[in-house]
This record gives sequence, structure tokens and C-alpha cells, in this order.
Amino acid sequence: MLWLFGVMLGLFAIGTPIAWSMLFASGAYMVLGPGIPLHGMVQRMIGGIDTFPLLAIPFFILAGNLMNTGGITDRLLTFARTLVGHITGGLAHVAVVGNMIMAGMSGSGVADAAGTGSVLLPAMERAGYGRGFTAAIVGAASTIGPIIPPSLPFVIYGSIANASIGRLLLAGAIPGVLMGIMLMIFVYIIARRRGYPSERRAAWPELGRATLRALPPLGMPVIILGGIIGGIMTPTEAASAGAAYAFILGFFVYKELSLRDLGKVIRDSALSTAAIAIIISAAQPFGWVLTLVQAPQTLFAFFQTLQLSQWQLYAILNVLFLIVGCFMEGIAVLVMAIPVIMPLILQAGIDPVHFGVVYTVNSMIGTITPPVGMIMYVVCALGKVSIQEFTREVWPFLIALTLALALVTYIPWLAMWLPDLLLPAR
Amino acid sequence: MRALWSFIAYFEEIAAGTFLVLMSLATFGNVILRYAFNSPIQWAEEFSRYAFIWVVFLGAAACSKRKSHIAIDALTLLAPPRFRQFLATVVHGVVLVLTGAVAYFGWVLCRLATQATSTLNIPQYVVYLVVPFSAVLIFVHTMIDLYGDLKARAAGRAA
Repeated sequence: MLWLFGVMLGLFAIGTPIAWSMLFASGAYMVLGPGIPLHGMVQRMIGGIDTFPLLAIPFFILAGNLMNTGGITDRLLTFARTLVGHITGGLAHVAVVGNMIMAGMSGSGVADAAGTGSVLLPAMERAGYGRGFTAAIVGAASTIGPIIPPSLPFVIYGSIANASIGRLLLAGAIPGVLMGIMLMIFVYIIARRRGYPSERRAAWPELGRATLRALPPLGMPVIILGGIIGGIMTPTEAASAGAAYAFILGFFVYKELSLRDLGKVIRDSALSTAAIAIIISAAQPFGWVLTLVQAPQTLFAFFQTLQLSQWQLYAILNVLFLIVGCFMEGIAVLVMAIPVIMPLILQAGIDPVHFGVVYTVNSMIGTITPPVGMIMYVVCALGKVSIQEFTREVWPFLIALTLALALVTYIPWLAMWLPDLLLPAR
Repeated sequence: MRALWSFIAYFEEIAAGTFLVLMSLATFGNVILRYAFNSPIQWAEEFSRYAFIWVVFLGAAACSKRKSHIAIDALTLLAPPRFRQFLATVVHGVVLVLTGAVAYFGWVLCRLATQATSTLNIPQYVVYLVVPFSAVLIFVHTMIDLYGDLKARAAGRAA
């Protein structure tokens, strides 16, 4: 059984795409171990993505890309600047608040990092912020993207852990805002010590104009969440409505989306969708092989002997996932680890929705920790910053986000209040 | 002629993008039909699900061509260039074996899957065909990459 993991981790290490590594290891086990015919593997690959909830992935990605090219991101950042630009360290606060607002419309941290980064990185450099600092704060703020609904990881987690996606989406709202507040506190302290500039305070008419201009895009979370809470639409349908809304705004209202842009947006969205979903597809046969070798049962029995309280279990899992998150891509960890540890979570009496929020916040921290982190790669490439420079500047924000993680973990109310209020479990 | 060539070169992403548009229209269109006209299309959900499968596998082939699959390259970047080249060749070999097997067994699965689907009422293998098809495409892209590796090695040895 151990060689199964050995093969997979070895393939990861030499740079084999994650999906192919998982498939190769599972296929090798099926052939060399119990001798299961491989068309069963192919069938499970298809079965793994043949579920309606996962269709929200392409729709959330499409909506994010449409917003970035359709001029919506620009308008939201202008709005954020009139709100918080006058605080010491103005543009860094704009990065945080702008990303929090973006998070309410987009479900992907990487898309947010690309969208806000391409506007904010040059602007902040011009205003005299260090490049490393700029990349670090934009990256750290982008991790809020999938926590505040809509959210790709919540959709994937919900369909794997069999938890309500609607409740998960709502549960992310307050923790996401909390992450933003934590980041702003740390930004403020750093900005005071380094003497970073602030922007001129926006006059009331200016604020009014920016709000008015940002109003149409702000309708998006209303459509998505309202549709889900009101029971009008499934999360997948709400995601498609969000994409349609972003298209209408960019194409008909703002007219910043040309047909040429549209072709590129569709192609990029299809490719990002495939890159994520093929991992989910590959995880299905892999998970099946794991149950064949009784990995979940073994782990379960092991933890049972430890007699852990909920508090201790959360502490162990959080530390474990933070370490794994430094080296692994978040979605790969999600699809491999969640099915294995889910029995443990349920047995400890932890609400799968709360665990989903904790896990997702944890894995988003992993996207900005070296050496492996998708958001880190994006902002470093956009800002032409080395990973070393980024790492030197990002650690205060890692502390801020880890504090937020601890609060979300140990005060379950933060996550659960909103879903319990609006979408109580049946 | 040039248009034809670029269609072939970009076939996977054009096809994946088309299915993405179709599934979006089917899902969102169905919401509109249900609420505005109170007459949802029964097969819309099944169609979107199958279109999604096509987006994913055709898109995976396009990702292979563009080398945009999610992989961990932090370790290989530390390796000396010659060794990195060798590792890339190993990876290509692994992908060839895997996609060869998936193409063959995907075909086996298609021959077995003759039942009709529940609402579209088409044979199951129509949906499943995308897997062996994409696996063949990835196999071909990887062969091209492998040929590139070997040529680069030969050039390295000559120099």
C-alpha cells in the first residue's frame, strides 16, 4: 500500500502534472495489485465529474474572467479607493477592501489576484510602495476571494464531503470579512512604521459617483446569494446567472468587452476549468483505490486510539494542513484528503460545514506560502518579483491570516451564525 | 487553407470553448424558461453535465499542448539543467504510458456502455467517447514533446 503513495509523491516531485500522477499511481495499483480491469478506472474518472454541483466551477471562473476584462474590476477598485484610500497605507488598504468586494463576485483567488494585481501592482509601485510588499499584500488579500461567497473550493468540498453548498457559501461570509480586517490591522502597523503614503480623502460627491458606478456590479452577489437563499436557484444555476450578469454588464452596459475579448475569456475559462476539474476527475479512482487498501479505516482506527477532543483534532489537522499547504496545491489536497478524513470529522461531532470553512481558510493560506502557492506564482509573475522578495514581505500577513484561521476554528459561531440564520439545516 | 490549419491547431480549445458556451446557455436558459415561461427543458441538466465532461477532457488535451496543467515544479527548478531535461523526458514517458492505457481502456468502456441515458436518450458511449479521444490527443502532444526532448539531447551531446 505504501508504494502507492511513493509512486504518486515521486511523480509529483519530478513535475508530473498532479492529475496524471494520481491516475498513474491508481492505475498501477489496480493492475499490479488486485488485477482490476482498467476500464473501471476510466469509468470512475468520468463519474467523478458527472455531478451537477461541480458545474458551478466553470460558471464561477467565467464570471471572474468576464469581470476582469469587462471593466468591472476597475470600477470596484475605484470604489474601494474612495472608501479607504485616505487611511495610512492607502493603496494597500484598497488592495484588501477591493479584494473583499471582488470576493463577493468571484469564486477564485487566482482570478482575483490576476484581476486586482494587474491594476494595483503598477499603481502601488508608482506611489512608492516596495514591489515585494505590493505583491505580498495583493496576494494575501486575494486569498479572501474563495472565502466570501461565491467560492470554487466550497463547491468542490461540498460535493465531495456531501455538505450543503448553500450553507457553506453563507458560512464563508463573516470569516472572509474577518480575514480582511486582520490584514488591514497589519497593513496599518507596517504602513505607520515605514511611512507609506495615503491618498487624498475623497469628497462626498466623488464617493457618491464611485458608489453609483459600482452599484451594478454589486448586484451580482445579490443575485447569486439571493437566488440560493430564496430557494429560487440551485448554487449551480445561481453561478450561471452570475456569469450571465457579468456578461451583460461588460458587453451591453459598459461596452468594454469586445467579441475578440469574449473569445479569449471563453477559451481561458475552459482551460482553467479543465486544469482544476481533471484533478477532481483523477481523484475519484485514486480515492477508490484508497478505500480498497483501507486507508480511511486505518487512519480512523489510529486517531481513535489517540482519544482526541474536538479542540485537539482541529489543532492537529490545522497544523498538518498548513504544512502540507506549503508544498501541495490546495485542490489536490482537498480531493485526496477530505474523503479520507471525513469519517474522523463526523465521528468527532464536528459540523462538516464548519470544517469546510476551516479547511478552506487553511488551504488559502497555503496559496501564498512558498515554495508552492498558486496565488504567489500569479502575483510574483505580474509584479516581476522573486519568490524570495515575496517571502520576505509576506510573513506578517501570514500571521494575520493564521490568527483569523484560529478565530474561525475556535469560535464556530463566526462561520455558522449566518447559515443557521438564513438557511437552517434540515 | 491557413484557416483550416489554425482550426486544427486550436481544435481542442475551440471545441472545449464551444461546449462551455453550450452548457452555460443550457443551464441559464433553463432558469429563464422555468421562471419566466414556466416550461423548463427536461434534458437541460443532463445535457449540461455531459457538455461539462467534454469541456474537461478536451480542455485537458489543450492544457497538455499549452503545458498549463497544474504541477509542482518547485523541486525540478532546483535541479541542474541537464538533470531537469532528463526528468522532463521521464515525465513524458509516464504520460505516454498513462494516456495509451486510458485511450485503450476508454475505448473498451465505450464498447460496453451501450445503454441509453435517462433524459437525452442517447447511448452512453457518445458521452464517454471524449475520454479515449482526448487521451489520443494528449498522447500525440506528448510524442511531439518527447521528440523535442530527444532532439535537444542530441543537440546537447553534439555541442
